[in-house]
Amino acid sequence: MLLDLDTVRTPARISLTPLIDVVFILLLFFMLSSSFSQWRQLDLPIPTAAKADAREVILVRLLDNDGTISIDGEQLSLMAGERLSEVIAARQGVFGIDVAEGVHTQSLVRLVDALKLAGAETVSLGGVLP
Amino acid sequence: MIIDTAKIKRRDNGDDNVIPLINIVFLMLIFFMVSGQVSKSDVVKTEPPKSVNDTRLSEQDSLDIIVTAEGVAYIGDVPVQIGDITSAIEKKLIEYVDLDNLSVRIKVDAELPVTELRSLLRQVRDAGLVRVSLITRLSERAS
Repeated sequence: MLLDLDTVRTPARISLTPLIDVVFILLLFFMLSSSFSQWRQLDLPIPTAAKADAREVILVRLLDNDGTISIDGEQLSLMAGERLSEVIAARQGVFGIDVAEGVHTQSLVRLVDALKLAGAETVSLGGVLP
Repeated sequence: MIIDTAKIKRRDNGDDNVIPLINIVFLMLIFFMVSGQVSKSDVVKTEPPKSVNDTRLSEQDSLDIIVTAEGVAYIGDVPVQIGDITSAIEKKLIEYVDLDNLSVRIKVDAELPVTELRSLLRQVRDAGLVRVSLITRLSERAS
C-alpha cells in the first residue's frame, strides 16, 4: 500500500450555505408569525341597579355613520371639533350616548373618542348598554 | 516587492460573496425576533374599531368573545349561536375559579351594528359578568 505522506493537507473550509438555509427558515418563521397590531381595550362598565348616578344626564344621540349627532335637539357634526368643544364646555354632567338603528360600532367608538377629546369628563353608554 | 497573486485568488472562494447577504438576513431576523410578538391568531379575522383610547390589554383572566361583521360569534375558538351566548358562557364559567376577577373581552368587527352589540352585552350581563371591555385598535388621530 502506498501512503502519500508528502502532500500537505489543506484545512477543510466550512461552507456557509447550510447556515444561510437555517437563518432563512428562522427569518421566514418570525416574519410570518409575528404580529405588530396594537390592541387596546375600552372598558364598558355595565350598570347595576345599585349604582345610580345623581348627576344630570345630557343625551347625545348618534344619528348616522357620518358622525351626525344631536345634543339637546341641536344637530352638529363630529367633524366640527370647535363647535363640539363649545357645546360640551357649556354643559356639566354625564354625557349619555344613544344610538340610532343601523349605526356601526366604529361610529360609536369614534363618538366616544370625540366627546372625550372635546373635554367631556364622563361619557356613559347608558343608551347603548343593556 | 513580489506579490503572489495566485495565492490571493486561491483564498477567494464563493462564500465571500454571500457574506453581505447573511449580514442583512441576520439583521432582519433579529428585528423580527425582538420587535414582533408571536401570539396565537384568532379563529376568524376581524377588524376591531379604531380608537385613540390607550388602555393596554389587562393581563388578568379573560373570556374572549369574537363577533364578525356578519354576526358570527365565537367564544375562544368555539363557534356559538349568537342567541345562545348566555348559556355558552355559563358552560364555560365552570373552567374558571376566580369569577370576581374574570373579565370579558369582546372583539367585534367595526362594521357590526350597535344593535347587535347591545344584544351581545345584554347576554353577557345575563350570564352574571359585569367586567366587560371592547377591544380596539390604536389609531393615530381621532378621525
